[in-house]
Amino acid sequence: MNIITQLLRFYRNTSQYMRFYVPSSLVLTPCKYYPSCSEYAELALHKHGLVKGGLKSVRRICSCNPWSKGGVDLP
Amino acid sequence: MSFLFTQILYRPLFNLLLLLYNYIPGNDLGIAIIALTVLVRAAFFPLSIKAQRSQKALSAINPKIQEIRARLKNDSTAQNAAILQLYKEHKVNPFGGCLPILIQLPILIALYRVFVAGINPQSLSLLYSFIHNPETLNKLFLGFLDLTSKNHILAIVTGLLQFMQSRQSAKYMQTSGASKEMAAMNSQMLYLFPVIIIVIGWNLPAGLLLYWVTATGFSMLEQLYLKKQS
Repeated sequence: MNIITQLLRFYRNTSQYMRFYVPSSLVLTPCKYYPSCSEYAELALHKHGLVKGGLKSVRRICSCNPWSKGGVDLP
Repeated sequence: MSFLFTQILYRPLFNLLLLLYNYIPGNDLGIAIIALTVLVRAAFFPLSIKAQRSQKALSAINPKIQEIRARLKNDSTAQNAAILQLYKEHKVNPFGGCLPILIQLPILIALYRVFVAGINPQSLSLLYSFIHNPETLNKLFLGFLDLTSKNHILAIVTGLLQFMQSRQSAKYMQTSGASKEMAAMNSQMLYLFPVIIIVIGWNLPAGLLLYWVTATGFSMLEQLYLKKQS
């Protein structure tokens, strides 16, 4: 669990950095949800455990599509 | 899948590269690479501008979000409402989500492969019939820079340019709202990322470095445009 949290944080920091400072290769658009998927996953895993939290996180990632409205969505 | 990728993305981009090579005076593969990079980046220009503005607006309200989260720690419904209200007040409109990345990635991969193919043409068989086949390509950029071999000076220039671009971008974003952890990470990455670029670029053919230099230069011009607008 700890390792997963660390990985999620590492991903979040790197992707944040890329969003802010390295837009030359790839245009990274800001998240349509709050909190971002990685923060959501972290919260969900702590609240619901590995299985249910994991499933909720996958559902969240899949809901980042042109047909969703976005906005605030907490686990 | 690979057939679709070749026909829809790779082949048109490859032909565009050769078209640029044929029609831009001088018949210089380096100039064709620069021109194609500028064209692709120009196509993404509106999206890129919008994304950077939106990101700036989001990072500006970040401290307020943190404050709300701390204040309404135990009431997630109230927290949601307050944050939503904040988004509305500041007209923050995060759009797109991750779809733009999913569209861009295949294009970037195709572009990369087109440049590799331009540098080492095994065959020009993928050319459309109406594109003139130049038989051999001139791979000396401006007459002296061999695009097929490694070029350590260009790798260092690429890294330096990346550093300048990141710093310029940091100034625009002014991430005062970033958490302490994030701020420390950012200042580390500001120096680390260009070093990573140099390490990766050390063994890459100069043609690919030229692509990165062009894309980075284009971003810096975008930043100037953003600064002028705001």
